Formats: sequence, C-alpha cells, structure tokens
Amino acid sequence: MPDSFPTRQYPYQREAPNVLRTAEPLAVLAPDTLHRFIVGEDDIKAPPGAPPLPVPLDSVTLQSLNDPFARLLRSKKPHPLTARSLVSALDMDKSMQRLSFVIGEGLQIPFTPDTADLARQLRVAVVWRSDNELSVLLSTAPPFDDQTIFLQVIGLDAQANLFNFYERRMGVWSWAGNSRHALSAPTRGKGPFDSHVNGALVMKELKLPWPHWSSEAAFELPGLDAKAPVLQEELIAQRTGAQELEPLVRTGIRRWTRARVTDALAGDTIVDVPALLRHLLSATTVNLVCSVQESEVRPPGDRLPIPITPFLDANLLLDELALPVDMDGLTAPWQHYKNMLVTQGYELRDQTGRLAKRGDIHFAFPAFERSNEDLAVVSELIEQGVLSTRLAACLAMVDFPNPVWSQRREALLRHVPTSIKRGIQGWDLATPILASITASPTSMDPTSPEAEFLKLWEIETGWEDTFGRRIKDYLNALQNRLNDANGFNDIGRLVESQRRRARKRPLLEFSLTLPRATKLDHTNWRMTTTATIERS
Amino acid sequence: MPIIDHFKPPGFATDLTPENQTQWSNFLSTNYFERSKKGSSDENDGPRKQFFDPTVDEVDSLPKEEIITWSAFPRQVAVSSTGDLQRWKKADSTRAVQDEYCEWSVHRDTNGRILWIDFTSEGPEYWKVMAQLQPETVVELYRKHIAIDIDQHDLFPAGQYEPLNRWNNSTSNGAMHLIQGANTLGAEIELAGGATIVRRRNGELVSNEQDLILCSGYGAPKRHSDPHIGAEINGLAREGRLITLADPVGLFIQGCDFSGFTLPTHNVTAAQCWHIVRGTQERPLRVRFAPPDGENFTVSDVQVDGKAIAFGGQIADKISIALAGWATPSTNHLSITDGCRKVSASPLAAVAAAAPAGALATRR
Repeated sequence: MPDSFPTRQYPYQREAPNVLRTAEPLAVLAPDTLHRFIVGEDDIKAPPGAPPLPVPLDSVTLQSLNDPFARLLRSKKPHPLTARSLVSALDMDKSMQRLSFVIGEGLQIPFTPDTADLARQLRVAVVWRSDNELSVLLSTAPPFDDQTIFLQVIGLDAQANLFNFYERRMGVWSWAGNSRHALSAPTRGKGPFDSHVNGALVMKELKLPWPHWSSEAAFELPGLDAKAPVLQEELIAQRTGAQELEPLVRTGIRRWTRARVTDALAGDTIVDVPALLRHLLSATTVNLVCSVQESEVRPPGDRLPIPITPFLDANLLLDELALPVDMDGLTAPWQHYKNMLVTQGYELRDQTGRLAKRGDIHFAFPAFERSNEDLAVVSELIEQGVLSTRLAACLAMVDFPNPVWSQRREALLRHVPTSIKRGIQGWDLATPILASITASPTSMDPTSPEAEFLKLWEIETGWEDTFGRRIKDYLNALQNRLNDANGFNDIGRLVESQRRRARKRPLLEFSLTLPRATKLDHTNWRMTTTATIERS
Repeated sequence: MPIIDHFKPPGFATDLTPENQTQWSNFLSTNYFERSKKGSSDENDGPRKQFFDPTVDEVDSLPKEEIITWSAFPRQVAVSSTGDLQRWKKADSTRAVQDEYCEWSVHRDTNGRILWIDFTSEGPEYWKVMAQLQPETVVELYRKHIAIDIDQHDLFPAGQYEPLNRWNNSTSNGAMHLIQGANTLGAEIELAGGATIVRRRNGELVSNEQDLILCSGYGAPKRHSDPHIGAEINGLAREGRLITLADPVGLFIQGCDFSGFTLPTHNVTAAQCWHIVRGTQERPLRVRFAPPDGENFTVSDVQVDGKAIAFGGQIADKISIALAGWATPSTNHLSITDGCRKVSASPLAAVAAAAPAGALATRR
C-alpha cells in the first residue's frame, strides 16, 4: 500500500483550512513561473468566495532570492516538477556535491506478509552541499516521477544567512517564505514553519542513533520488500548514513541563529527580548532521542543505556555552561525495560491504526530533549554577551529535572522585559529580571518559581560547584530509581506522558515515530529533584 | 590467476624496499588471510567460503571496490558519558579508549594552547614488520613525525621494537601508530572474514547489525566500526558475492567533515589545516591538524560547532575512518550457515589462539 503524507500535502490543514486542497496542477497558474504562497499572509488575501491561490512572485522579490534553487528556477525552463527532474537539474551545478538520506518510521519493522501493508512513510532527504555547508535540501518520497507527491525544498541564501522555503504546489513552484517568517505573527507556526518553528533546518532525530533514519547505527532497510524496485533507485541504493546529515543540520541551525541574534542586537535596543529568552525558558521545539541499544537485542551486561537529556538539560548545563558533574551516563537493568513494555502495553500502530508490532521502536526508550535550535539561541546569547553564564544557569536550574516542558520555568517569561537598551558595559538582562521577580508578589510564595530563582541567584560564590552538586545528587537518585523495578516503571510513565504531549506538535506527524503505552492512563507527570514523579 | 601478485603496504607507503614489501605481503597472506579464510569449523564459524585472498585465490570476475566508513570518535565513550564535555575529556585522557581504528595525540605549548593534533590509523603490525626488516627506517620516521631528537633506544629498548614506547603511548607525547588492543590489521582481516558468513536462524537470514555481530561474534557490538563493517560486508555476502579486503590492506582516514569549523581568519580554511603527512590523498594514514606554516593562530583559536577546540575528540567527531573492500560482481557464491557461532572457549581465548605469535589482540 503506498504511503500517504497528508500533513505534507497542501494545505497545512491546521493553520490554513480555507486553502484549496489539491496537489493536482491547476491550469490557472502560470507554468514555469515562481509563485509565492506564504501561509499566514497569502491565504487570507483571496477575494470573497474564491480559494486563495499562489500568485506569481513580483520581479523584485524574485531577483532577491539568492539561493541555488531560486537561481535554478530563474534560469531553467521548464521548471523541474518531479523529484527526478529536480535532482538532475541541481546536479548540473558542479560546485555542489549531492548526498541522499533515507528516513521512514516503519523501515526497521521487517517486511513480512503480515506487515506488507504498513504505512512505513518512506521518505528521502536529498542534500546538495558546498563549502561544507548544506546549500539545498529536497524533501520528498517515491515515486520520484510523480507530480503530486510532496516536493519541498529549502535553499540557503549564504549572503543573507537565512533559508528560503519552497514547495511544488498545484503544478508550480511556490516560495513559502524565509527563515524570518518563522519568527513572528502572522506567519509564525504556519506553513512550513509549523515544524520549522524557528526558521532553521530541522532533523528531529539529530543524534546517535538517529532513530528512523538509515545510518551507521541501522543502515539496512528490512522494512522494504527486498525485491521492491524502489530499492534500485539511486537516491536509495546510494544513500549516505544520517550521521553525515547531522553536522550539516547543526551548522545550518547555527548559521541562521547567529545571523538572527546578531540582527536582534544590531542597534542599541533589543526590541523583543522574550522572543529570545523563550528559547531558554520554554521549549519552542524538541528533538527525539533514545537509547543507542536496539529494543530487541539484549545489551552486554544486561544494562540498557538511558538517554540523560529527557531528565536533565545536559546539553546546556553540563556542556555549554560546564557545570562540574562527574558521573557516568545512566543505565537500567534490561529486564526492567522488557517488563515495562509488557506491563505498560507498548505497541506501534501506523497512520491507519494498523498494529505494526507490540513493543518499542527499533531503538529503545524514545523520549524528548530540548532542541538544538533552542540551545543554539541560548549559546549565541551567551557568546554575544546578552546572557551571563550565571543568569543562564540560574534560570535553567529552575525546575531543572524537567528540562523540556516546565510550566514553572516558562512562568518566568513574564519577568523578561519586552526590550532592553545596551548600556556602557553592554547588555544587562539580570537587573530588570531580578527587579521584576523581586517585586512580584508570587516571589513571597516559597514554592513559586520566582522564589526558586531568587534562592539560586543568592549563591554568588561557588554557584557552579553548588549547582553541579545538586545535579549530581539528582542524577544519583535517578540512577537508583532506574535500578528499581517500580522506579523504572515510574520513569516510563513520565516519558509516556511527555510523548503524549509531543504528539500534539506538527513535528510528530507520523504515528510510527513513537510507541504508545496503551495500558497507562493519561496522567501528566513531572519529575522532582529526588527523581520521584508527581502529577503536574 | 590471482588478482594481484602481492599486497602493497598500507596507504601505499613507500618505506619498505621492494624485497621487504614482498615480505610484508607474505606476512599478511600467511598469518592473517589464511587463518581468516579458515575460520573455525568447530565453532560453526568456518570455513569462510565467500572470503578470499586476492594474492592466492582466483575469482570469476574482477571485484569492485566498496568503501566502508565510520566515525572516529569512540562510541563506547560517547554512550557512557553525560555529555560532550565529559566524553571529549575521557577520549583524550588515554589511548586505551580510542578503539575505532583511530588514535590521536594533542600537542600543546607551555600555556596549554593546542599547537597541533596528530591522528593515525596505521596498524601496529606494519610497524613491527618494518622494525624487524628496516629498524633504521622506523627511527627515521619517528624523528620525522614525532620529534627530531628521539633516541633510538627509546624505540628499541634491549634491541627489540617497543610499540608502546614513550613516543607512542599517550595522548600528549605523540601517536605514531595504533596501540589500542583492538586496533589491529589482524582484527580487521578477521572481522572481514567472519562477517562474510551468511547466517540463517529460525529460517530467516540474519541481517540486523547488532544481531549479526552477536550471532557471529566478530567484534565489539557497541563500537561504531565493528557492527557497521560487519553489516556492510555481510550485506554483500548475502547478495552472493565473493569478498576480500582491497589492496592495500589497512585502515585509512577517509576525511574530515569541515562543516561547523570556524577559523579566526577568513584567509585560511579548515581544509588547509588538514595535512596528510603519511599515505596518499586516496588513502591517508596519518593526518596533522594544525594551522598552515606562517599563520599566527593556534588550533585552540579554531571553533568546531561553536566551541573552541580544547580536545582532539572534537575533531575526531568529524573524522571518518574507512576500509576498502573488494566484492565480485558475480552473485552465485552464496553459502548459508545455519545457526550462530558457537564459542567453545572464552572469545578472547579463541581468537588469541588463532592469532600469530607476538601479537595480536582480538576486537572482542
């Protein structure tokens, strides 16, 4: 059964319900002409009673688009409208090197007569790189000669340091906006920015073992029929492992983030400080992590490695801020994990609800961490002197056992000034935040996040060591819980409640991305500093 | 006729005389390829019918080259660490954990700033053979690549070459060739041979990376290298091909991904800091990362992924190590073995028993 990609085909259903729902070419649209269709701007412009349609791009904007894909469309007629013809056209540019990557949430579920009809969501990401950076990214799926399968392109404008987003819509190419459109209304969260929420490249499974991607951790594609013609397609047969896509995506995220933050700091005033601090105090998006251990292969020593970042923002606290915590990574008894899969009723179902398997995805223990995009902004704010490491640490240490979703930490956003001016000694965010928190009545409540922040801020000397010790105590408690069967099950409940929350995001568009623990109720859990869980 | 007369030295190195190159080839063929072809029938792990020695065996079609790559950073260190900083520190602390066929040494000035980082993928066997046949060449090479005033007695205490000499046994005083117990050419050849056995279990061919390595026992499941090498080779074997290691046999530093490198000056690129000092462009054996001569910045001034380089591991993250295999286009050689390898003794004892004297640790 061929895969379908309803969330990739137009329209972006959640945000633009009035957009014409067809992928078929429309005769009214001028062929070989780059159009524009920016959801949030263009979908609301149609005359009454008429569906909004892409419109030909004006010549000034057309000429200003300075990525390799725009240059191709300006110079080449007819426009390539299939993946195959597009790959062929972009390959003509010998300054770029092409790599293709394969992803599919069902590709590690072995192909058998019983699983033959699973919707495995096979997709291909084709990258053209130049000067060690990703210049063009094509996202599509087979069949590669199809004119209606989704075809989405991101092009790097290396001078403006941003990405342009394109899609083939109704038989023509449309410009869907650029990275800046992701940042604010009316386009934030719409169109491609429902998953590229910060305007950057996105690879939600960014780290080893890159679940669902073909990679050095799991290169073969047992989910495909060994005789399927699609396996002979060059983009699939000559694929590269996802371990080589990761650095390209990280570099792209950093490039755009640096440009964006530098722009924000260009004058004497930062006009929208919350837009920057939300990357520290909330999770604008998430990355999917999991154990490096396959879920059906017993690990050496019967200890299952457990990712740390769903339980601690180690990327920020231990790496970026270098808080001293001397201990090894987390592990858990294998049998606890196997028992949990049964007692909590883990299963995988595809988009149609068909049962794919009972158990976990290919790699054990999928969970969520704070995104690389959020970390990139915080890192840039520290590097450019907007955030001191102490302020960043004190804010991040509020409710630190809940790194991804923390209402407590997010509540502190109300104390972030709307704007700040650069002083003689540079940017000073600490003073206005501290003043607002201190003046707030809620800071008198010892259980409030404001009070928690103030206690952290009071530790002027040796704060690094103090925070490091607290984290170590917490991780030791967490390790003890993981070693205990009941404790492990509690952690499993917590992780499942996080997964349920993540599933509501457009980023998690495919059912087989995550298992469901069908025997758990829908309680939302949060972690405490003693590594116990409580209702949130 | 066999495909080649003799194996060339790793990385097409030109250290050995023609006569000694032949000796090197015979050493590889007799000590490693022969054993790896045989495997162990007692353990349900041989003979390896789809593995051949290109200097001895004839094949029905000229093989094609397949390159297999993996990350140089030790995966076992990565997964046992709490984050990047910790894993870089661990990986830089001792050569004993650098087990992905790539080892490195970080050279700093008196202020702790990194002046250069040397990466090597040269197998110890080549150096041991060279030390027996041309000891003066070994001394010359150490003086050229590590330190000009090395005393030959440091390398040949009591007249015999010591691979773990003070110029090659740390992460700060020099890395001439691999010394980690599992980083050997013998292990590479044994891994390749073992991975050519196509295994069937419960009526299905084993194909999952981890299942394969656990079933066939040809390496450490938690490295980047062993499972991936094994899976790629086994994939070719399941297609029915005859397989061997391409000439010259050895590991090489396939390259470095410079995306994410930022230099303090626009006049120099990261690629210009990447100096292949042994091997060839196609088969680099040894690389030094350092600013080009005449530049007045140090490695510590270079950033990778937004962080100033403080550890060799940050660059190891970006390095790919590789081996080259040969696989015949013909696909009518499939030989299936039922069941997994039965290890009669401890895995270490079994492979140690198969290894030639004076060497050679297992990759288990």
